[in-house]
Amino acid sequence: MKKILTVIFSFVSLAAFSQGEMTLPMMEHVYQSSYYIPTAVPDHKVSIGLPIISSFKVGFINTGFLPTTGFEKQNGVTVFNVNKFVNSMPSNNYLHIGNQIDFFHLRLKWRNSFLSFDAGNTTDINLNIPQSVFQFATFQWSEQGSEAGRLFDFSTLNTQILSYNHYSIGLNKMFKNFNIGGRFNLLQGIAAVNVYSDNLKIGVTSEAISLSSSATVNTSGINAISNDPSQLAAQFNNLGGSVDLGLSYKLRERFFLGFSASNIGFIDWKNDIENTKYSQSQTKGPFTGIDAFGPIIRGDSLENVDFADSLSTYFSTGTDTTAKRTSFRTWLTPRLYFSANYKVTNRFNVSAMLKLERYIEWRAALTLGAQYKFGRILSVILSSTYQYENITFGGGIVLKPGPFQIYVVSDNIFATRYNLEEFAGQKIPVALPYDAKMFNIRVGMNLVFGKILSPKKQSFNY
Amino acid sequence: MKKYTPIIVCLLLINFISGCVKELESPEKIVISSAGGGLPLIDSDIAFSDLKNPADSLLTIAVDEVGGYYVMNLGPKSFEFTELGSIINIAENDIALNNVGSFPIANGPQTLPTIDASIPIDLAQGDSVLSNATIRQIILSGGELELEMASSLSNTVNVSVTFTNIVDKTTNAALVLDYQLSVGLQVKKTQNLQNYKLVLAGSNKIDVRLAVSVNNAVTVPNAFGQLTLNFFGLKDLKWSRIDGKIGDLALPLGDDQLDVNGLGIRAFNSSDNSTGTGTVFFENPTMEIRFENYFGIPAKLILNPLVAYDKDSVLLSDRSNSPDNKPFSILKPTDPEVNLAGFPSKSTENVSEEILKDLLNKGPNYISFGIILSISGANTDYNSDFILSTSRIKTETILKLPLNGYLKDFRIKSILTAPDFSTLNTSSSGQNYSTSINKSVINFNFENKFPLDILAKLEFLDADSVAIPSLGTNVTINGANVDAQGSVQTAVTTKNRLALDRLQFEDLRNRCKSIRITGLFGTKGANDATPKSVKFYPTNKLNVKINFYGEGSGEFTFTD
Repeated sequence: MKKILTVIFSFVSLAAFSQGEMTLPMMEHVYQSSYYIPTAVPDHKVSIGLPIISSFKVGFINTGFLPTTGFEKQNGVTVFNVNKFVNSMPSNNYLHIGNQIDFFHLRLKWRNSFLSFDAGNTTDINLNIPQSVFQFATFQWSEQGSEAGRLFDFSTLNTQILSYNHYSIGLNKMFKNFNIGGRFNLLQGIAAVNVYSDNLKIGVTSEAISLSSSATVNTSGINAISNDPSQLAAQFNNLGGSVDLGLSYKLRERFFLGFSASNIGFIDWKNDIENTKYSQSQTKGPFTGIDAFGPIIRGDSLENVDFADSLSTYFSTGTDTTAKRTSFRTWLTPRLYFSANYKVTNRFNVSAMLKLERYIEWRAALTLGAQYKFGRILSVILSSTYQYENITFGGGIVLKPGPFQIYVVSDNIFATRYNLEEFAGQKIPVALPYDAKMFNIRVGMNLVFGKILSPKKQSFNY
Repeated sequence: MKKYTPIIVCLLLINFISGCVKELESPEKIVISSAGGGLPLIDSDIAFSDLKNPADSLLTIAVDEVGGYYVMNLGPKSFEFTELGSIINIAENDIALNNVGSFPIANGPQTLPTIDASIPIDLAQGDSVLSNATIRQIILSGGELELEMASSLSNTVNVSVTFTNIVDKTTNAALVLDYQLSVGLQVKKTQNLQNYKLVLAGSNKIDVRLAVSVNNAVTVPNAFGQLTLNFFGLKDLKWSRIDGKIGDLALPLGDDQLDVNGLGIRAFNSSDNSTGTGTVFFENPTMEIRFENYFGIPAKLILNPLVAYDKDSVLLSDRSNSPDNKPFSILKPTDPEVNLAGFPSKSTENVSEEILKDLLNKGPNYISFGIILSISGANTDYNSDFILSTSRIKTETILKLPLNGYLKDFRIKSILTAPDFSTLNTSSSGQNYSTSINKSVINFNFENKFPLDILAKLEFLDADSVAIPSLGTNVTINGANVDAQGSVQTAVTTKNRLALDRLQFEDLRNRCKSIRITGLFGTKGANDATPKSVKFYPTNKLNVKINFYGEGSGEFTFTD
């Protein structure tokens, strides 16, 4: 029973902090899988993580604008077609770049429970850019063949750049047919940039340029970054919390179901705050042109009449740039996981997992995975994920020479990299996966002790 | 070996993965194959006050609540002449009287007499003003008095001669000359009269009183003989003020001309031959002549004559017999005793509308008239009137043209410097970009609150100021709706559109350096057989909106 339950929770992937990895949750014996599976049951009583060595992860997600879609041949010459690039985008483009570093962890087995403590840093950049932003920037200001203008809907424009530390305590309690796990995370905000649109729309017609509603930029810690970055880590003015909860259930022999909700939480930012709201001046109304005829007729000089300058000045008058100190709240990206696992043999099992994640809108991912353990030194995991209208193949390897547990895992190991020497006059020294919608990799080394020798005596087996 | 096989397989897999690199050819260009949209460019309100050139000192635009806007052509001209003192001369040829009088003194013990006498003088000496004047007093600013006396008395006598009506200006003390006369001796004395005034009280004589004494005693046992005033003279008399009933005075102040050419509304930069031409009709023009009278007597001014000339100096109409050429009365200022200059008397007179309408609406070049100052002695007051040697008349002529009338075929031309479109095709080292606008439209939207119909011809000029044949358009702006009184009721909106194809747009941005605008103005209904007058008010304005729509493409090319 315990073995069965152990197996289950490979797939209860609770993406604790960063955009959800799909392959790592299967690596239950690696401590870092507990970020996604609070109920993960390892095969060692003690696991220790050292700063940075324990885990380092980078990743990106780009659901929309794939650079390679713009490349084409015209008259034998390679060009980058901006229109093709923009038209191929979905209505909302999600861009994520994330980084996670572990400071420390300690997990101990106590009776039928595992107790854990860990700390680390997460730095994420999340952007949701509506296609209309690119249409606006590339002068697609009217429908094809029509002189009527266009209303650009920027209501889903959102940027969230967060850097925060987490200090977590976790408990994994095992019962006969089910398992309950949870983590409580104290969050210490370091710095943040939060841009959100309050249903902002920009209308561009021949008659007027107008803004409806507004966009707000909140920042925390930006001034300190340039002046004294060290004080950011020492302050605890930006506090928040999040919880991860999971439940798994043995439906039948060798067949397990799981559900979890994770990353439910927020951070309240109060340190080094600046708030700026951008909107159209209520007294001036829409921009309908500059007063050029008056100076001409009066015989005044037109030297100081500049259209672009007048336009920027016109809308900047609606900007509320007073350095306010209004605290703001940022929510983490919540995730839901639904999983199913079937244990084929003691060394081999297969699984399926559905993930729903929300940043501005819900996004889904479906993963199929297979895991095989080669003795006590090596285990290999292969996975295939369908998300962002793309299929990727992931994999992971765990090597355990002695007490050292070395691992590397990625959700997209076959991402094609492109060697682009130069673009727009800029040299590009490395090959990058330009058409990949998602890529991540995590590497690290833990120290594990106290092998739980008898599988039969363990609550879970895999 | 078997247990190491998976490790080897994994390493090979990793090696394979790391070798999955494709070559992506660097693009030579970034292409925007299709872009387009509209943009508002200009939103300007043009008010009447914008049309005045600030440097124009002759043209003033003002407004009153009832009449609306009016244009003033100020013809500031101050008529001042040389000091009146040089025109009106007292004793111009000097006064020299011999044997003025003899006064015998009988023999025997006596009290020596006080002798009163009058010396008749003719200060006017033919001066037309003073001849008809009844002078109360003359305040002198220069001159000399001479008196020669002789004595045939038996004793040496002291004679104190008091000129009772020649008094000090400040103390009012009479002028006194003292003589010591010995028998057979003639004594002449001279006195500067700069600080004295003649108190004539309507008479034409100098009053003298002779007080005779011997050794300061008037009672003498024996003194007989004769005292003689041998000579009395006044020379180089200068006056600063004459009080009394002044005689007739007619002074030509000179001619004035008002240039009415170019009174049309100026638009744009007047240095560019933009002065308007055409027909201008003013409904209620007025001409004011403002006077400042620095004479201490009421005066009259006569316009002589009021006429108009065309640009070739041909007389348009002779209004010399017009009732407008009438005398204008001006009151005298209050007498401040000392400084009259600070207390002018002001009055204005209007020239009738009829004559001005007739003159202006026939398109004269200038209006000419002369002003004559007329002072009638019959109208002056003996007790209160006076003139100063510095008295003068200042006049100012103001032609006031309420903008109530009509314009017909009024043309104004101006040149605007076109915006620099060349930045759309700028090259810099290492990068080139070009844009192509395949279709463009310039839209004009006019909301007109002026009662003016405007037809503007736009010509796009190249660097040699030659009109580019592929470009050019006419823009029509309809005037606001007016009521029966000619006041604007509602604005009228007119839209115009200039569509350009690719080649035309290229001409516009590559060749066009300036834009020549020729405007043809007419007030609402001006081209009708009976054009109606309209009025202009501060609320009148023309809102001009210009926007641009363009479709095209662009390329960035990267070169070393």
